[in-house]
Amino acid sequence: MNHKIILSIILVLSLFRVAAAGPEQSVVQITNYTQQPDWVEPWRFSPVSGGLGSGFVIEGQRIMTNAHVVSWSKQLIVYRYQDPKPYQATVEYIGHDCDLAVLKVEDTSFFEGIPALEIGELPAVRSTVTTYGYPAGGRQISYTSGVVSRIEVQRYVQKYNRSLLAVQTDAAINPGNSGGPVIQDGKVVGVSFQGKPGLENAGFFIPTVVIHHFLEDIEDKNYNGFPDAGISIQKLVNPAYRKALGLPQNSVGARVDVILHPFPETHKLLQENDVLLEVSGKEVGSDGTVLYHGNRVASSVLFDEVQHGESIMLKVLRDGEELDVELPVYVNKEDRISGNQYEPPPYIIVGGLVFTELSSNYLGSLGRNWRDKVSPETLYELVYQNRLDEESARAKPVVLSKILKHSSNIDFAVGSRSILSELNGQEISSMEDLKAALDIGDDEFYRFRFLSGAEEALNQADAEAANKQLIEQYNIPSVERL
Amino acid sequence: MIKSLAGLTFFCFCLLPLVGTAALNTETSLVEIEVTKKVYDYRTPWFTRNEQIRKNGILIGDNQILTTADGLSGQYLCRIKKGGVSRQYLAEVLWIDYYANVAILDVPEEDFWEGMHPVDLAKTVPQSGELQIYRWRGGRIEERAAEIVRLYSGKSKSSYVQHLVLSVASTIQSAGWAEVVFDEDQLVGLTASAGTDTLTILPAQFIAKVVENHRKSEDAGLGYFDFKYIFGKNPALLASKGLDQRDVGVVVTEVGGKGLSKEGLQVGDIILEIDGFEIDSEGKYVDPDYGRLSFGCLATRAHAAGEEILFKIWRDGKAQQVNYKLPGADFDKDLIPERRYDAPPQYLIGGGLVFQPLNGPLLEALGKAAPVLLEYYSRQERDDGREGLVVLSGVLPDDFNLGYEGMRYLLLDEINGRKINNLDDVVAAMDNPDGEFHRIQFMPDERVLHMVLDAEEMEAATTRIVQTYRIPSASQL
Repeated sequence: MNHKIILSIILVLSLFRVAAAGPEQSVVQITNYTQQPDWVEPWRFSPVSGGLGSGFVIEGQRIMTNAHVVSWSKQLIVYRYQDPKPYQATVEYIGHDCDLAVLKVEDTSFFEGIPALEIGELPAVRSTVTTYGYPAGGRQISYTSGVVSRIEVQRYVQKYNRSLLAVQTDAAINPGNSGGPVIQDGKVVGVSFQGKPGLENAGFFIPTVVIHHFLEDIEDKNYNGFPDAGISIQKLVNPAYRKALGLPQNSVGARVDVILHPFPETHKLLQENDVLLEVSGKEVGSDGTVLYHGNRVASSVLFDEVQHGESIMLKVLRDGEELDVELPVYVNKEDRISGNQYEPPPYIIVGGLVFTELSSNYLGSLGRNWRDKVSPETLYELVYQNRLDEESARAKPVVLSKILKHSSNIDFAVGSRSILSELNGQEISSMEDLKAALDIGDDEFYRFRFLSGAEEALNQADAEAANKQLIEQYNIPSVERL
Repeated sequence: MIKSLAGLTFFCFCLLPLVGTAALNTETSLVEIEVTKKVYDYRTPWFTRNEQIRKNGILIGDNQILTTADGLSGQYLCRIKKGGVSRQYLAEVLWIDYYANVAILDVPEEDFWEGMHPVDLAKTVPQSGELQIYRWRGGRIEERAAEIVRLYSGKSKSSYVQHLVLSVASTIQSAGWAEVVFDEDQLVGLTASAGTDTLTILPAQFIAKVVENHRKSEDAGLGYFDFKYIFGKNPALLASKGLDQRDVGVVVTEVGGKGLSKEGLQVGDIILEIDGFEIDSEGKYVDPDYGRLSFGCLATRAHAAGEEILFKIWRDGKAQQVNYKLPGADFDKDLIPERRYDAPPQYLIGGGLVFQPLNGPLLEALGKAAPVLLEYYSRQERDDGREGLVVLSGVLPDDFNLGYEGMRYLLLDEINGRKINNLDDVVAAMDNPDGEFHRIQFMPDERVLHMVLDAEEMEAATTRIVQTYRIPSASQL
């Protein structure tokens, strides 16, 4: 009898110990109270809303989670496993391009007794993984298990104009799971982050190669992001094209179709129609993929292993000769406008005319039928202009987002959503240009010229008086924010 | 209704035989036209479908049956019924003016004209009151009342040409197919389009002018003001240009967008007067007959293409007079022709690559699926000497074009070093390969820039592909 009691006590204790040592101890729940800017009236912010996500403790008393879990944060609360006490956290580093962030907690007692999770390697396809997190807002941790379905380069929706390596699993990943760890053999093999509409039983997690890149990047206390070589690679399978480039009819080598802007270093070192034979010593297939840990994935994955300002080794074929190229790669900070933004937009109000930066967020805020509301010229400015040259690629078009009606502008004939191209003869390709042109002020009028060719004008003195009146009338904190 | 109409006719004859004005008898002037035509799908330009529509026509003179041009494109068999009886007479299209949306048909068979009487075209457009709409339905005349809503300067149904348009309210269903509209015994116009409870009417006054021009040995065609403008309502805008007046003129924002004329006007000009008429800050003038109208219709109201029209403009801080030579409407002068009538879609298949000129019908066929870049280019003016654009609209997969299967809707820049404006350029460029290869280059802002094909094998590949995909011909130029 006693034996039995002792045995069951040991059993219960051992169970408890096993459970206590499990990764869930290190998984935290995150509540984020957010406020998002209005992209048309940029001084306004949305009502406060709360979002829930997951995170986990890593080396150095930090919490790792998704960038999207902690974006637009005004107040960030984290909860330990099975502990009702709220702790206040702040974002230490955030990488919107890779959808990762690390948080710190001022009250370091938060980390007491919580082991940091170790970050492992890329899991094998078909191996089993377990997700840990707080989906659907529950206060109890949830586990789901599944296999690694495939490993591919995928679009990361947080920024939307970035694609990085991602792992697909059939373990259920639901809202609230975001930021939680995916565990295999007690180590983190990924961070749950997104699903894909129309794809059933498929969730995606960020693999450790991306996590390591992020952590390495912030070692210098500054997050740069994932660099870009600025090349568009096309497959090279057509026999005639291979022959024209002096290549054998095999499945090696993809073609550099175009060199993008603004990548001056790449323009110096590479040429259109160079054939990419190797990247970082790995053979590039004719479809532009490389064999990466047993998976055939886009060769961009190797570029994503390099840090901003470092170089990548390429072997290219040009005019029938093989060349080794050491290509330095940099983060393209100029493509910001075509991806989702996470900073409140700049604005300047001129006589009730609200000018802001054209962005995909701005277009998105125009509603479901935004394509019908903006001209192809405007979309061209946002998406295609950067293909032409370096100057165009650096442009940040300025859009007239709204006209706050006033007797001095009531008959302004150009409508909102128009792109400003000139002010008083000064070319405008950024908010800074607009600010500078406004500051010249040696004219009786503000003379506007828009992309459509339309001209309009405001009397400067009337515009200033209107601004004063309007910011008071609409409780606008300031006539500009740059 | 017919009875009472016949009664009314008789009554009118009794009363007014000496005046010589035949009272309205639509049964002897209104006809039903059956149009059999070819229609095209620009996404599969090698296939032609068959379609039949019914519309109305009316006699306006000997051997002259008037109808709208709308729906006639691609016609090859027009048959006409008169008097509601089933007999169909073969008709001949004498001319179609798609810019004006007017067409004249004839029936060569003599019997047709027996007992038929032309109607008079109203010389002016009524601006208020009730009108009558007539058409044939099931062998009987259907008469419907229409109430005039307003007269305005509007765009033609089948082109960008501006003319007077009458809008009326009526409960008539499925109209807009040249139903005839009368004010007593005068033909006021033909219906051009129908919305919910309203119809637009192509006025007889405009039709008469078009018909008269066609009678001339040299018809200059319809003019079009090839410029865009914004309202000059903002006093600061006028003041910034040194014009110390209020609510006058419009400001030019683009000249020559349709490729017709860049002469005479400049961006930034304030248009103060056209043809002696003052232009207000909303682009309206006061027409001596019809009151306030947008000035767009002045191009067709009192002028023909090629005529010089005096503009008073404000430029460089002073009022100036300029002669604006009114250009003629011409779709083909646009970089991307907006419309294309009575012609099958052009295409060229080379090694499975389908090339098509970029034009309005192609964009329309693509609808919302049209790539932004195509829409963007369709709105650009002609510059750097380019006269048109050709698009690689798709690839018919084959070993020859392996690797290019997914390429579609890419705009061509050059082939074998030759700039591509049209399909003839594609043909000429393919005749001069770069050694063993055809080198295709797309527009610099396209998502793909380069493509190479085997020049020697191309012809054999084209033959094979055309057979595989059961395409009747490799080209339609």
